[in-house]
Amino acid sequence: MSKFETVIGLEVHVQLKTKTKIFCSCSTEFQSPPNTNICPICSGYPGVLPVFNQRALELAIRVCLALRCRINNRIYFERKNYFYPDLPKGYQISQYKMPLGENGFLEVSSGKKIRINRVHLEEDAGKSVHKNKYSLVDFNRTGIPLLEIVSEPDIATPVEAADYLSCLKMILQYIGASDCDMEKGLLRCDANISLKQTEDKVLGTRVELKNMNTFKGVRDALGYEAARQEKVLERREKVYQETRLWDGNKGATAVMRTKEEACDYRYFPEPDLLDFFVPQEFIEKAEMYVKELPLEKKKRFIEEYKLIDSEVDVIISNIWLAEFFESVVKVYSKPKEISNWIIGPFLEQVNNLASDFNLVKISAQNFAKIIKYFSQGKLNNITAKRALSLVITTDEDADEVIEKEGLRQVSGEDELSGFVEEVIVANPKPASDYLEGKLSAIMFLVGQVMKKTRGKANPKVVRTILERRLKNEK
Amino acid sequence: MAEKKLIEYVANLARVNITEKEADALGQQLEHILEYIDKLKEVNVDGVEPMRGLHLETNIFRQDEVVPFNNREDILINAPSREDGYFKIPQVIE
Repeated sequence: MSKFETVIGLEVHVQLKTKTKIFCSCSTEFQSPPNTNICPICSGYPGVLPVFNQRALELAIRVCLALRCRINNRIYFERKNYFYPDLPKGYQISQYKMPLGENGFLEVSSGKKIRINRVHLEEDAGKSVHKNKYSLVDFNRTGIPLLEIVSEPDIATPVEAADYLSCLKMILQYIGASDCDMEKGLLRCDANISLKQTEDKVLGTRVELKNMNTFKGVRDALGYEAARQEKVLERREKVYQETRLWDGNKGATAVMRTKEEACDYRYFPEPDLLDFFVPQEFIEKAEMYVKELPLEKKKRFIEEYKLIDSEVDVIISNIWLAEFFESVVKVYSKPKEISNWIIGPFLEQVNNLASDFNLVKISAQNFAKIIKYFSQGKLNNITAKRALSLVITTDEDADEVIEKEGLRQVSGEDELSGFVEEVIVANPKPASDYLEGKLSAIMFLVGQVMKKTRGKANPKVVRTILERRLKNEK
Repeated sequence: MAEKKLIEYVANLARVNITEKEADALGQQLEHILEYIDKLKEVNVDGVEPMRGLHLETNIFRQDEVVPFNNREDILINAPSREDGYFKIPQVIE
């Protein structure tokens, strides 16, 4: 048992889910060709004026409410001055003295509340690509809205830090504030970590960790750093206040800069933007997203609908989806069947719509109808999916579509045996394979009948007829 | 001379190269400017909130709609050097 306690605080940057940048109308599209989403404002031309994106404020308010922060009713932006090639203006527009949100908390899986110090809005910098003898700069990311979420040093272990991140991610996705994709850099995390003897009141010297690009990276880097600091302290040496970079390949941290080289950002109020007050109606609009947070919702879903953990995680990954699920349950009380359909075919088709739930128009009643017809055998797996795909963006009545497209499943042996006959004649090889004991060959024949009936046949009935017919031949 | 140190410090922050001679001259000028501005310190501002700008009762927002800037070439043309649509710059030493 170590005589030291680990003290960790996290600083998370998330990209807000807006179509345009925070202060100009350039697209935030990921992976556009370099320097295509740029304009005189975000590339730092003189004489231009930033104009604040209302959506960015609305989403930031949702986050503040979800993290139970106090929201300052008047906010303003400041300039954070520093030189780096990916910052064309020579300053980043950020918030300093008056952040949007303060004094909140986030409840992690164990039920522990990690206090949130502040939540503030700022613009992202550009991207540098380092070549052998020179560097390349892309300003597409410059000016993309970020939210910086700073925790208090309440986190006690690397595992708890990773859990804090995954709880935060779940909330941000659920309220639609950010997609939080770490691989795309939509969620980035820096950490402060120090060690202290259990009985000490004051915190030890902290080290700032950067460049942890995955949840695993965060956990491993903090684990490595805690062990490193413990060794230093046990040798009765000093931990230096410095910034260290995590190297995932080496599995170690290395010094990036020491305190003496720390920056002097010379913050001052951004003169190009006026103060903003936070309108009451923005807060009211945001409140509906945070009435029940994911962890609460998850517990309730597991209890009320008898679903398993992994199913609930998918369903509550998005607030719209969670509400849709519940409204379908209201009209068709088979939560398990609904969950299967939502996680399977439904989300698959939403993916084909670029995961844009705004395009989904199907009503709970109509969706319930399709699931019910499937479970009654009126539709089979193929035709039910087809029916869903036909009504998902239109909400045309499922009954009418089934009628019009002739999707009703054919289960009558009389209607099917003709097709079975044709298929056996046309495919003598698989038929004889089956008779010689290669049982899997029958699936091919079933498939052929399905094809002939344009997916309408009841595959179970087809199989039964096929088996009987082939055995008789023998 | 405190002002000379300040000049050198700010020049470093602003990544501007200045010579010893320039730092001396600028330091002296700055000293005069600061003396002049120090007059303002005579005004009693107890209890006065610093003013950042106008306080309007309306917010000035932009809606979240993409309006592409269709003249990217005009921006890139100012790059001293470029490669594949990127700005090409001397190697950044981390």
